[in-house]
Amino acid sequence: MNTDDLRHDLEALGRRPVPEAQPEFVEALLARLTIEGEFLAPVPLAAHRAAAVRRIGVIATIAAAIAAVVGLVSMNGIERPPQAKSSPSLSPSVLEIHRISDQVVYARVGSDGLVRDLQGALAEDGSYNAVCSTGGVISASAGDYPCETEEAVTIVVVGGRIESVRGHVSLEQTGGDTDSSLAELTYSETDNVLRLEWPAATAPVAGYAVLRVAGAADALGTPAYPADRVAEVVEPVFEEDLNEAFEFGTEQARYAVVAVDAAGEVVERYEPLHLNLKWSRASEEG
Amino acid sequence: MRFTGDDEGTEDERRLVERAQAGDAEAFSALYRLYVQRIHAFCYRRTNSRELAEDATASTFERAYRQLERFEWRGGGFGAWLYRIAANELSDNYRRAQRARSERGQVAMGSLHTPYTTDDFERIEAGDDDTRRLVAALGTLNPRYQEAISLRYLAGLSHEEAAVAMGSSKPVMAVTLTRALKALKKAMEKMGPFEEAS
Repeated sequence: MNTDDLRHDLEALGRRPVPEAQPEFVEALLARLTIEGEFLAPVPLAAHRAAAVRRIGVIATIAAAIAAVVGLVSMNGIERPPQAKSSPSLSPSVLEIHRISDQVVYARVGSDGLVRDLQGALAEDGSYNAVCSTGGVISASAGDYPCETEEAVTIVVVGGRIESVRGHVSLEQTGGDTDSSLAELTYSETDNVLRLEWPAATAPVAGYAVLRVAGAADALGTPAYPADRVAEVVEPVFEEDLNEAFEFGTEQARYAVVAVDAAGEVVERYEPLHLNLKWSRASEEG
Repeated sequence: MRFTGDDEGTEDERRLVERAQAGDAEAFSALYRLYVQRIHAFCYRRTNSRELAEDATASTFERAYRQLERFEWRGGGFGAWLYRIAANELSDNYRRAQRARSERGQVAMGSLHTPYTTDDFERIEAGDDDTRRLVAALGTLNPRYQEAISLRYLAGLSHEEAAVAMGSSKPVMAVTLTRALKALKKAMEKMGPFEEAS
């Protein structure tokens, strides 16, 4: 199944007739909303603001915590694995964690190993992006993770505890291609997302095809259209999650873009961009 | 897809929203009646279940009622806002279901791409296997991807309306949709054929 088939199936699903909501349900829900208004009374804006302030507080608290994972755990005498190089001070510090697909929050890891926000509530279960503000060891159920200063990692919190820690891939643009017309490249280390932007085509086009080859650096050629097409976009921008896109250990990725007309014919080409990928220790283990 | 048909309808709806925000229960009732079937249909397509669709529809309107004061009219209007709430509710439901499985020790937290069985979706009532598989795979994506696909394809919003509902620019919405479809394709490939629970 290709993406076009999938889009077609989704459109079909969106058109599929479904049963109407039963009148009893419709009336009962409306009654609950309007008659039992006390329960559902709109919350004044001031309360929302207060909640927001509390959230920021919480957030600011959670931040203080996870780096404390780094500090407290190390103070508890857990040794860094042999592959870890000596790290800077292991004193408690602040680790900023970013709830994936959500807001930035800050957390603290207590001496009991639980991740709590600034008001003492357990962090919600789920995945967070985090940055180690100092080097140290993050203790996780799946194993300790030696974190370098300013290293971005993904942590998974379950039941208030850090279940696992996973490192990220990082990027380095190789020297020979810096004058690529795809040079508008940004890479968000926290989100692990590569973003490419390029100037809009001068001729009328239907869209752009993003081309990519990846693998060992000495075995790669120039991405070709249509064989190496990985995405089609209408606007001249493309984002990709590096962890999703590449197998661990991939040495290099080469991107190119072509502008195509409605018939699928190439009307403009953009020079390719070469990127070296560097993988962190945790990804190697995972 | 236009929510209100024309500019006059949009203005009428806008006035209804303003009155509802001022505490007029009749105005809220009118808005509710305008959208309850559409939101229910949207939820039904995502869940294939009358029960789950009713739960999500109720949660959507309860949240909308509570947050009405904060609503600001933008492209897509009240309808796009409601669909966004519904999409959030639905992805939250899937997330809670995944967490429940994790708590039972059946699935590691964060492992979203697990083989599924009828046991996982025991409340699905209708639809052929392909539809059930598509719906189930959609529920494994991260919430933002679920929202993007749901708003664009299942709610029938235009690209622009879906972007507004997501709080994104059109280019970012295009990128998100591309990535979401790719992730959905991968999730379906990982699922393999539907298997009966033993």
